[in-house]
Amino acid sequence: MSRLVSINEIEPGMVLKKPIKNNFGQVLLSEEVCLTAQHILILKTWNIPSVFIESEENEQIVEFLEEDLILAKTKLKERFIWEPRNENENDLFKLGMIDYLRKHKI
Amino acid sequence: MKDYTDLINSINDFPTLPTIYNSLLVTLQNPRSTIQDIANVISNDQVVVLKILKVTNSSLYGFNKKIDTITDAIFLLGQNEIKNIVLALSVMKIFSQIKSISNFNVTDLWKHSIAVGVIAKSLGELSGTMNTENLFVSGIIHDFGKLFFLKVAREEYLEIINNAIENKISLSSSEKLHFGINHDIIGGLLAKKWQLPNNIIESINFHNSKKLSFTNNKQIACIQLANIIANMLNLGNPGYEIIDQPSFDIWSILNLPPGSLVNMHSSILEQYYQSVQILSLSK
Repeated sequence: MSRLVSINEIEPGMVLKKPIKNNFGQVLLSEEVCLTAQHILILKTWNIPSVFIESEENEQIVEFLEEDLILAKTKLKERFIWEPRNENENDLFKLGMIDYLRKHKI
Repeated sequence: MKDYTDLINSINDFPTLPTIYNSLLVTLQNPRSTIQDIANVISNDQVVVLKILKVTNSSLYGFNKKIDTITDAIFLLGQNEIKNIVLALSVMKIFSQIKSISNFNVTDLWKHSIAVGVIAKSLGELSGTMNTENLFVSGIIHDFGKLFFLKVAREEYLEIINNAIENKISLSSSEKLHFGINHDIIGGLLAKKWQLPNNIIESINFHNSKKLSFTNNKQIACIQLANIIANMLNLGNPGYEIIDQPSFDIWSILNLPPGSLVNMHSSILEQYYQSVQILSLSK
């Protein structure tokens, strides 16, 4: 599974899941490379905004209990007066649920 | 009751930006200016120097060495970004001059604005927007029209906010019903008065627009979505509670990979709390 990570959040030891290319399509770093601090510095110099890294994380929402999810959903629905139309809007709703659950330390 | 014309006429009475911003603009426009000249202008205000260094060393930029001097900060961030940080700090001074009303706290609006700036910048990076420099400052300024209403129509604004909350509508819609004009347009006019760059004016003007067909629509899309997320995560308070549905165009413009919004949660909070601490209005 891969995850898109902002350049400000990448850390040495993370493994690239997709090659990094510059504006001309030239490969700067190929996939499966384990990033070092030097790599990260170079990526910043090249103004690369984000990279795909290898991730074992599944959707973070599975760590919560069903009843807590229902509670978070009900709370959030009071402010959402519309239904999600696509995957991105489902993600947006999920982000709201995770925020509610974490802030209420569930 | 204040009407549309009264409000438009009051725009000229609204505070201008502090002199440091204008002096910096003059220096930046001079092709002979050196980094040292720019540093000299900024160094006239030691509070600004201190805040620039704090912002530069925060997780917002993620440099892996400590930046101690203003010349290093200018060199690493670039002139445009330094100009934007000075603009954000200048705007902050105006925020601290406006008084809250019982149902709307200026500090909470400031926090909401910082959140929109931080989130817009992250969205810009995630969506591969090459120029993310103006996103943070656009977020900081996007709701400036609300400050204007707080200054020139305090009593009426209290009612407008109550109306938005009671009827579950956005503040922008409630303002439009009452004044015939909303904070988006007023904010755009203020930005024009301050001679800010066109792309920042557009981001303010259209941050609630349902149609996105502008030249810098990627920037506007980032601000719109960031505004919705900041409200949803209760980071500060924009003055209303309902969560707007994003305009449909946002998704095709930003082309965010599935799951990326959920993965942003921790980094948004980290950058938000750090920025709120650095840019606290009370200091």
